[in-house]
Amino acid sequence: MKPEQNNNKASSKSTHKQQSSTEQTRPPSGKSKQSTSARPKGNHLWASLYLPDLLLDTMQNSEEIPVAVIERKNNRQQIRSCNHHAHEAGIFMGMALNSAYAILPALTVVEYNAEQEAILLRQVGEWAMQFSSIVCLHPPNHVLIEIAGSKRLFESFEILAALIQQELATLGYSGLMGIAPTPLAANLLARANIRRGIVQVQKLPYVLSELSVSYLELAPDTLEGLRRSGMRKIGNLLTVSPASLTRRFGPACVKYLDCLLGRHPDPRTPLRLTDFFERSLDLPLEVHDTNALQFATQRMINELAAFLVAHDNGVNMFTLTLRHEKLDDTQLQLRFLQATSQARHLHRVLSEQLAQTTLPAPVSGLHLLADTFSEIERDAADLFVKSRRQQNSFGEVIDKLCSRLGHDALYTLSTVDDHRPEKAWKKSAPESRQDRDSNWPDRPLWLLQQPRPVTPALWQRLSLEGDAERIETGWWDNTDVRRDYYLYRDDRGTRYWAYRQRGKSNELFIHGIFS
Amino acid sequence: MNLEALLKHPGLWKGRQQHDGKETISTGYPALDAVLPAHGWPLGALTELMVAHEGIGEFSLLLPSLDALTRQQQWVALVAPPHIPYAPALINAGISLERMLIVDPEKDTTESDKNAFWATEQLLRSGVFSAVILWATKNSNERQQRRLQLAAEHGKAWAVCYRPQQTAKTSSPAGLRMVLQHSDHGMQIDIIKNRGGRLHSLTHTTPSATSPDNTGQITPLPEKPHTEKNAAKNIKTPLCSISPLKTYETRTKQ
Repeated sequence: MKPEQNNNKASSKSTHKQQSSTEQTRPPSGKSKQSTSARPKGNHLWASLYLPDLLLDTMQNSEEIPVAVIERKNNRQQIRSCNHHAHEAGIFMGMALNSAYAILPALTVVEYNAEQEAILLRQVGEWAMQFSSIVCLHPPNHVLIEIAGSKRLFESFEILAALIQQELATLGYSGLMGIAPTPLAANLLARANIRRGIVQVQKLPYVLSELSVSYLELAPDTLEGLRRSGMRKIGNLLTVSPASLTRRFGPACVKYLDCLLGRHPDPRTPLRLTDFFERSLDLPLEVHDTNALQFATQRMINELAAFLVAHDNGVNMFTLTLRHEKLDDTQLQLRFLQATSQARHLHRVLSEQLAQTTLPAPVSGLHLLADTFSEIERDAADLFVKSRRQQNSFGEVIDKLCSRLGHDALYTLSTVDDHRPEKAWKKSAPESRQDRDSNWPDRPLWLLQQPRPVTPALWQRLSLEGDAERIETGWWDNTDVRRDYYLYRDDRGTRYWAYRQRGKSNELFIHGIFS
Repeated sequence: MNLEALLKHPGLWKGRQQHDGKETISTGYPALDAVLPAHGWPLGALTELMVAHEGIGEFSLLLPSLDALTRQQQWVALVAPPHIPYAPALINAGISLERMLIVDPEKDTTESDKNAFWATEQLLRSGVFSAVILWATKNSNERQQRRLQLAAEHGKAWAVCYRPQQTAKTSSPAGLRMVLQHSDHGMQIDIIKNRGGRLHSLTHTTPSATSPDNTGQITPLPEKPHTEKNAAKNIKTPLCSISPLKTYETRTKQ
């Protein structure tokens, strides 16, 4: 996404008229807004990111196409928000979807989804943690970044603010930013698109009093009430005594204003960037069979999948602990060949493993911990483009097989540069890359696990074919091999690779079978 | 049930099912391709290879096709091979080892046969693998073979199952069945069931039988196809499959 598009979009928002900071009433005392000395120590300074159209932002790509987010209101589908291109074509907020299609048949729409929006907001919040250790979410549209603590790192908060906005644009989100000492004031400035930051709490009433009450985060009927009573600007509201405000609009309005102006503390819970996923579940009834456990784990797995998606990560391994009342816990470790975030795949591997588990005692609780993550291989699908019917990915199949047969049972082969036949090959994990090796002498397709001595009965039926090959090596690691290999064929057509040990008995051992 | 629906029934196969020729894997032997209706190993079907004794060239028979598949970056799997598939020999045969998965369930347990069949079925169904080769033990039964056949159809994969020669007597839902045995000229291939095609006998000559120098490269020589009329009669040892085979021959000729 290009920053310029965000600019387009921001300017297209009819509701957020840009207001130049120069038009604002200057508080007479305000000279040095940057000076830290003016700010009592320990005070916060909040940068609020206003992200009104997270969903719309995710829909936009480099192509200049008209897109819109729709919602269902009063039993009809209408436009919730749209981008610059749609707006230019004549589409506006609240327009019925049918009318919008009539104007612009090529309009791309997506339905508003609050859950998706919450996930996106959290993603922005976690992204913002690169700038500050204190980041708070203010759903549905605000991310609050505490920048007083980060100021020293970034010279001044203007530089930091510019950096945040620039990085946000490269992320593909269009947002407005406001900077103020209280979270709510920062939100307000962001919504009003006041680019100039306010550092001192005392200055808040001066700056805010000129702004429209419509930017206040109050209940819609309160805003409607304010409009009816002729209060257009926040300044009008501030002249009213708190007691009459409470009488008219309830205590919430007064409390909001107190928090807004810093008269009342407004504690926030900082976002924690968790690096692990943990869920516990106490089962209301003890579970005796693994089938019932699968049902109980369903929710946990879905949450894990959501966590992984939000982090844009996949899980390589997680541990499910089955708690028993009297015995020690049973631990199940689930491993994945390729990091995955798909709930379907997680479920399948877990149910396969549960089916293989015998419960030593009834299960009274579950605990799931996932702390090994890695990036999902995006190009994983390219590895088997040629397969005719792609129903599962390679990793899914392998994981399913491993969960029943064990991880040692699946491997690919590779050659080792060693003359000793039993050391010339090794097992590798599936999907490991191997170098194409050069030619080897004639070797049997089957190598026996253990060389087998030729019985007299078999010896009767053997006839020698071809030349002998001497293999004499390995003296350096005390597993030296001094053998003469021969090709034998028996009367039933089986071809053997057999050897005699030089300097030892004349006994013949079968080491391989040409098949 | 009307005729259309009946013809689509998976349990029913039509005597002269036409193959479109697209979905096939060349065997690497022109003479063998010529007698198979798909002009190669059948995809979406089970191929049964019934072997008299191990080591007569029964695995080499598949190497040209496995070579071609792995070089096209397609996945193949060997399930429950009887011994260690020896990497240097496979490299010599041209196989890209990183595309060959070995599935080696723990042997000699009560579950090992079941696990091998289960794994084969999963691999076939997945649609990820082009070829899955299973070394079945004596315990394999018709029901299991049918499951493999259906899984191969589902995943459009080439399923191969090695079975002991005795099982040639039993019926099987496999699309292609071959009896492999040793003869003076090499390995004799008797096709005892060939869905959509005729029955044949061929000889596969291994390099060491003809060339004493043993170059180390497995270079299969072209088979000598017997004439179609003599195909059935040329099976040397009195195989049980001869008699049903003859009746089939006469029926198709009428």
